[in-house]
Amino acid sequence: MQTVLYSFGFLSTVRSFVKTKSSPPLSKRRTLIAEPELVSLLQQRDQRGFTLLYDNYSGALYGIILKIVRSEETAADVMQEAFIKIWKNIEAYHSGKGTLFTWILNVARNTAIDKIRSQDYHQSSQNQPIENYVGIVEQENPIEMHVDAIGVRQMVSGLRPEYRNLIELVYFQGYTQAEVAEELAIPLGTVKTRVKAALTQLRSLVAGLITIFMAWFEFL
Amino acid sequence: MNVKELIASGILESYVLGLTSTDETEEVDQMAQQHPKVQNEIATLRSALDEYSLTFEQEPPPQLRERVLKSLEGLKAEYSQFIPQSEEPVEKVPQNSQRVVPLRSGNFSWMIAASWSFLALSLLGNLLLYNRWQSSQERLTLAEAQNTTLAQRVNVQQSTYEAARQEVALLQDPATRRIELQGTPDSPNATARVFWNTNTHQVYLAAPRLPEPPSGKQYQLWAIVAGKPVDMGVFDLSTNSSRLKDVLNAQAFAISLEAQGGSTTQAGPKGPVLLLGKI
Repeated sequence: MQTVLYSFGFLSTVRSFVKTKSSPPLSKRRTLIAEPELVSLLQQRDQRGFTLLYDNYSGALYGIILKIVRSEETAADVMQEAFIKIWKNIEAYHSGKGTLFTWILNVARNTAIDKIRSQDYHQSSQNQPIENYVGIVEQENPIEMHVDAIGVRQMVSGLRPEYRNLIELVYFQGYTQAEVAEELAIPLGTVKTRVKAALTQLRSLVAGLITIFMAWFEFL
Repeated sequence: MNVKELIASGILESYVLGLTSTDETEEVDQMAQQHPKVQNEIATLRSALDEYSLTFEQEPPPQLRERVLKSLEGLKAEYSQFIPQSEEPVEKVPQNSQRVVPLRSGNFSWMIAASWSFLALSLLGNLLLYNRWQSSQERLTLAEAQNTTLAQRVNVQQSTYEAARQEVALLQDPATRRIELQGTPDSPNATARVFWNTNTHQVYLAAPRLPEPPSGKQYQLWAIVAGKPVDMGVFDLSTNSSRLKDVLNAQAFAISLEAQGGSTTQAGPKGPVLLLGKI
């Protein structure tokens, strides 16, 4: 029993150490709450629920929005819009359709994609050819991440460029399969095959993270 | 489409990316409801995309928090009549919750932490078991060696005991004759004793008190049969008593100092006769 306590204690110490190093001292408040309770707070439109939601998820949502719209000003607008959508549509969320995080992430992503696909945004001067997106956004993203994110980021750097590009178009730019086929000048059937292959690799890379933790632990 | 075909088709990948048509989406939803396997597959794919999204995580400008939360409060005032009211006070809701998860990363990092901890435990356990196994192995080897030594000792004891038993039996046998050998003028202080059983014809030499033979020499026992010396074999002084050759009939016994290996009956004793005892 002592061994059990020791090893858990040890792991959480390591984790919290890394976390403190990588997060700013005051701005991030990590509150633990069970998801069903949070959903229940949100559905009652309880302000505490939304404060919790913001404090815990704003970094993830803002990061994804900024990656899509590539302007801090627009990102702030989209962030607000996304939270309003969450507020209005929280009834539509139910746990059978996946985690709350997946759901709000999709709301934010779709709001951002709607924004860049809207007519007025297209006319703005910030538009850049899609091919340049990936590199730029990744360079611009400053380094202040969750410890898991660092691991995943390293793993994901192993994602094949063509797959990364595909996920970029579909997931972050909201392209349909037909649009992807046109953009990349490949047959529709190939797009479908490649979507599967891309996600399969991404999935195995993320799963490989566990292996990295294991290796690291054994190194210790 | 069955579950296997569905998973292999790649439609689930398209589904989580929002690429499926309305019909396809409906089909996947239906399959997910019926088959936990499909549901798991979708959850894994979603979690991979979520983790990928988290790599772009970035802290929003601090003033945005106020702005967003304010606008939500404004909404609340606007929509208050449509909001469902729960009879239960909110604080009481969390009671039957079993699952406490960190909000941001969902179940995934818990899975990692859990796997990690289990790995740590398992490694510790393995180490412990390995150490125990090794020390058991060592003890076993030691015990085996001790066992062999003991077995050898028992064998030695057994044969010693057997010899002793035969000697005792011989001594107790009324047919056993005891012949005291006396030193000849060549070695007046030497003595020895011969036990001879007239039934079994066994001959034992006991308690020889003789000087250590010079190197290359050995003492030899002779039986005098019909006036002639008969070779009874050579012996060492190291053992207190030794069984020598049998003899049918003897009138006397004698000991001489011979070259290593002794002399033969034909040749007779070549060295000096040191002890002699008549029956």
